Amino acid sequence: MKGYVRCLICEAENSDRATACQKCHAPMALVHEALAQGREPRIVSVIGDSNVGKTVYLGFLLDMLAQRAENFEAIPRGAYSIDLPQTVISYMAYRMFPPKTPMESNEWKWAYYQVSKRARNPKWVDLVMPDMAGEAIAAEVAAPSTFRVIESLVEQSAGLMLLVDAALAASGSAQPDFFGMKMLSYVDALFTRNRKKKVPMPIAIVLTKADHFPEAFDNPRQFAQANLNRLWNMCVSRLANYEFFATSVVGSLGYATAENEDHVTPIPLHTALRGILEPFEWVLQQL
Amino acid sequence: MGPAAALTGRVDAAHGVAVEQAIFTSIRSPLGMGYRLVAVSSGVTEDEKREIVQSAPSHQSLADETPGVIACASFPLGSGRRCVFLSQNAGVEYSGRGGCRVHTQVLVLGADEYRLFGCDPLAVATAAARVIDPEYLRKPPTALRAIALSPTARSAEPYPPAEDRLLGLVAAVLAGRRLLATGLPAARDALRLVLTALPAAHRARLSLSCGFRPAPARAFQLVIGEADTPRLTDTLVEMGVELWGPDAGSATGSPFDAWLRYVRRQWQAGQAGELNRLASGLTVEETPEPLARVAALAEDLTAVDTADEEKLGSLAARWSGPASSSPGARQLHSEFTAACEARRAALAAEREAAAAAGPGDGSGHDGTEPA
Repeated sequence: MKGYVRCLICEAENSDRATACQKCHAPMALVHEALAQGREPRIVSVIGDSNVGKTVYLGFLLDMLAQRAENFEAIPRGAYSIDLPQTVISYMAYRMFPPKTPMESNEWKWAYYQVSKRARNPKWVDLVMPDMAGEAIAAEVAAPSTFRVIESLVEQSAGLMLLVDAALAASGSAQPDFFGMKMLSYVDALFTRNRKKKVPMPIAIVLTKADHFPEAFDNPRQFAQANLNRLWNMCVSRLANYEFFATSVVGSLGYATAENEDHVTPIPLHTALRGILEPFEWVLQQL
Repeated sequence: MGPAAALTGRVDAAHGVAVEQAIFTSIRSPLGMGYRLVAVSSGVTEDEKREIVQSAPSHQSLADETPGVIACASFPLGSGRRCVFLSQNAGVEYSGRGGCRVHTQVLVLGADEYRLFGCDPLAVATAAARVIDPEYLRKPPTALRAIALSPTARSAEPYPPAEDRLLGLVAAVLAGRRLLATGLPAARDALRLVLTALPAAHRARLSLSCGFRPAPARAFQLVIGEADTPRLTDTLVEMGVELWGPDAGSATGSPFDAWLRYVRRQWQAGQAGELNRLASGLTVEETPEPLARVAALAEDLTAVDTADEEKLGSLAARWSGPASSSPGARQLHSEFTAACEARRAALAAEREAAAAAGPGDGSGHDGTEPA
């Protein structure tokens, strides 16, 4: 219909002059970029519980791609795509973790990048990667259709990166395991009607904060099987295409507090990136 | 009021009304982390919880993070009940990533219960402040029960000085427009005044927020706040929200002119409280004509005290018909009737006193000297 375009994420009709989708508040610039490229972008969603490290991971990943790490080339489409890596790098440079991502979807940062790996015939892929609030994801998983934008994003995703807090899991907490299991159960319900069929979408299970438990780098699968057994079993039962990865951003962590305060602030003293690109590269290869 | 009365669900202004409650905030607990409903009383349904979570304020959503400053939002739920958010800074958020922890006390009350509060979320807030344990702010509980709030609790805070430009805002709200009202530094004071001018029939349908950073998730009919980015402003405008600023037009030419003139007089006379009492009882008056009638009756009530016989007769004749069905209009009509009777009696007493005093002051009507 003339004068209207469909949102890339939720397919709601919006005026072609709208800056954000009226239904899911995703930037309409995504649609305009996709139309300009003349090809359908692939959505790769980074999902995980609150405080697992999605913003930091995605920010560093995009920055590494933009800096052509490991022969990748990434071109941001739209200045808004640079907001996330700029925020993360700037905060970390000052030894601070970036602010919490609010649950309000209009505050989420979206990235639209054209990515390829250098080769004789490079294959360009347009990727849309939103940085969602973990609490919104958790709320959607607990009560589907609470945040339809998340439902739409996961449904439309060509690949997923499920981030799980390895440090918490290694310390004995069952929370990461239960969250991972719930998340995969949610994905399973979205993608499969037939119990005999497994979820075909490639899912990278990324063990974050693995610097707390470096053995996770040696054998992420073994780590997951030992410390995230429920999640592991869910993967084996319901996923057709999955892989485990360990990742870490912080080289050393300090903890600051004051005498008159009852809280402790974690301070990233320096960054030492490890395992950032591998999950992304794997997902890209599966697309 | 005892606990039994508090939880029977009885709608009773004298004993307090049962109100469901919940707390939405960010804590780390064995069951989860981050912003979520950490405690909910059993009477809140699953659908209501979903709607609450969709609109609840999370990180960096307070316009003013000064401790003790409370942001307020009120909106209808799909179930027909009313939800009220009372949010404030509750210290440092557990993840230590800057910003404060936003603690939101959620109250869910039925339409009848809300009417007992004059459909005024600030009245609900006043009542809640007297009942809710302040320790919840420091240490949110993991379980909650319904509470009893007294609709008779009144804020002792004086009303702020009136601002004429707020009449324009009132006119726009009465006309059903969706507004982002900016340029109001004392946002809560502005809301208090605006509510005094809105009849309960309007308030019952009104969704509003005050003290939050505007967001599409809370694009209510009346949002008092500042859109801090052009992109947010554009998004809200595209959603049909009008920007109302300090340069917004005045209320002249509004279909509600008669009512607004009365509001202005009440505000300027320092009678905002009286106006609020009247407006809280106007449960059916929504359109310009019935509101104009109420305003005219209120004006005539003030004229009774100084009316002579003839004037009194014409005033009484004008309002001799049945009163409107709303409690506020009936109350006003009763006051008018009582005032007329009192004035009649006073005039009669004056006449009798004059008659008893005799024909004059000693000079005589026929010019003769008294005996």
